[in-house]
Amino acid sequence: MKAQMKTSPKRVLAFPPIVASLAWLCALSASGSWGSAQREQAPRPATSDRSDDDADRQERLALGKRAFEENCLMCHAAEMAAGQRLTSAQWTTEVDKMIGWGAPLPPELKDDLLAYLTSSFSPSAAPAALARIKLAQALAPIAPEPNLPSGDAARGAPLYVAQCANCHGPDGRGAELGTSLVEKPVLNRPSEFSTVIRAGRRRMPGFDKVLTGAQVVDIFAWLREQRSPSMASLKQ
Amino acid sequence: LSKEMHREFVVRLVRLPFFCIVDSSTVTEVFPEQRPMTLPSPDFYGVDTAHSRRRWLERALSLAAGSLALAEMRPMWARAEGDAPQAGLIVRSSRPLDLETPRSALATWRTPNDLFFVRSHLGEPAMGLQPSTLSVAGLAVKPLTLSLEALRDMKQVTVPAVLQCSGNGRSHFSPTVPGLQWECGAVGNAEWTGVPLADLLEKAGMKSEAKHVHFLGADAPPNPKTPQYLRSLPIEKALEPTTIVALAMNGEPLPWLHGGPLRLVVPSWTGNHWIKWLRSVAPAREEAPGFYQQTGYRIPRHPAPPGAVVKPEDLIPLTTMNAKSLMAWPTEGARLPAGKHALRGVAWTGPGFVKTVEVAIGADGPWQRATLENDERPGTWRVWRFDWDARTLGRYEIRVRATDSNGDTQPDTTPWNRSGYLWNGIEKVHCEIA
Repeated sequence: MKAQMKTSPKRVLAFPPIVASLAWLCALSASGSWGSAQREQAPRPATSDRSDDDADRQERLALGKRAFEENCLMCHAAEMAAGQRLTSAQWTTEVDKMIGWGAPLPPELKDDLLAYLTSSFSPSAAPAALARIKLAQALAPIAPEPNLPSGDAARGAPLYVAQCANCHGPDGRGAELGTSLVEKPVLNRPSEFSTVIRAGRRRMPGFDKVLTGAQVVDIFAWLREQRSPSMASLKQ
Repeated sequence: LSKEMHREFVVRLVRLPFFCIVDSSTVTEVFPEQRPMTLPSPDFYGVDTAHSRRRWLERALSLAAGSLALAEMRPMWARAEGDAPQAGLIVRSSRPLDLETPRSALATWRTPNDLFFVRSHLGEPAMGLQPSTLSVAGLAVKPLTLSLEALRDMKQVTVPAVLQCSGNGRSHFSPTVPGLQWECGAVGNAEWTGVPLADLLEKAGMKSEAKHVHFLGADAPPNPKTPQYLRSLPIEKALEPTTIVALAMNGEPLPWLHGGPLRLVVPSWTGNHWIKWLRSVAPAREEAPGFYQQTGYRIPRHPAPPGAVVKPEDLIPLTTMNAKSLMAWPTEGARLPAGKHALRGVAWTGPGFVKTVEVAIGADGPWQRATLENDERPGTWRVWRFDWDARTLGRYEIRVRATDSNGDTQPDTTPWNRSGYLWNGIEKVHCEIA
């Protein structure tokens, strides 16, 4: 856990230059919101003592859990892993598949993630507790909010390019670090959209010091105009 | 026990005929068509939360302690808590949304929309960013884009059909396989209303070289490296009169979480063909390219031993469902009084229809015919019922198996496959006559 609280400047700088201001970047690293920035790069010293081994393992599992939260939960709910009971080989196959599909897991965290998944959700683990939900309740998180702000998509376009495109892709369809925003239910939910932009979420930093409320609304308007790839545009 | 609490309890007990079932002659009341196991309306309590119902049940149970008559009802109450449809769907994944229907809600011919299972690959698209349309392009002489209104103006047909996730029952495979660990309720039967796909293809003038039809929904992937959920059907299946683009489900506009406003309905074929939020249809020469058609949803041509890695050329596309049945009542671990009990559930298959359902009481018990309701109609399912006169106290293993019009019957165990598709092993439910 100790290592988790540390922030290595070297690791922060190893990240793609996705932020506009250096001052803001420093604020970010101080707030410790970068997942892969949490781990020391130096190899761990070999240990002979059993308690050291245990501590090492606990640290590894904590890092793996954090890697899970920051790199898997951007698309999945935690139930995805908690509901499965897989061997180490099977988890490796699944994680490799997701990396191939664009999961932004830093390569140096893969072993920790696998250690966490394998130790928590192995074939010998107890069955998962299952929640229940009414269909109407399940709709609530994607239901449109009643009022839409009137932003200016033309003004939003350059703001999107400057602040969002590095992670979410020039067309909003997702890129190395951010998921697709195109035609997503959040585009009917201006309050949620604005909250996420202001406060950040998982590996995404908050933009409250970078974007004004009106600018957020303009970006929102631009994103609402973007469309998913059509069948004709897919390679047939 | 305060006088007030006692009165409240008695009043509620009177209003709960469902709890008073100790004789199976009234079991059908538990499963009225479309409204299985209805608790009294929330108005009666003046509350509307599962939580307060549960609190009430707990209180009622504690009140009942010491009463022989009430003790006999406990199993029913316990079941209502554990498996009751009132608690809603079972959450397998809340994002993307994957919800399983509780077993006890699968005792009727029509599965209500709000208890129908939900399966999503890539997450729901936003509602209403643009008017919903359906395009028919690809190898079409006159490519079309149709509005919902235009689709509603075309000839509508209603097709009753079972929708089942190909991974339904995946949790029963051993060794375990990755994927959603559905137990039995990734299945439901609904009446789907919409436009035959053949009519749309005819309207667009399909070119003769088309041998497949590609489909794409509005649910886009989260990342450009994630494959689109692009799928195809061979032309023969696409042109079957019961393959439709549905606009309604059980008489309601198709709910958003079930793929509304437009979803492909492909009776007798697994749910992976039933494209949700359908947006594009394109006749083509070849099968759809991409992961979901070329790699996913494939099964070994010949059964392989558990854990075996099968070469891609020995995998074939998953298409049709197989003969299967489930027991909606009693549920696992039920404790029942001696007497007559009406066992009940549903049975379905791929092409053809269910011909017989048999029940075996006791691990070595003989197979006995169950009564089948509903028509011998391909694509949909049949409700089965078996009257069991349970006279001897003890624990029982109850099995049920379906045989279809092709003569296919359920095996004890379905051949293992690495993705856990098409489980149709015979169910074993354990209960106690006490």
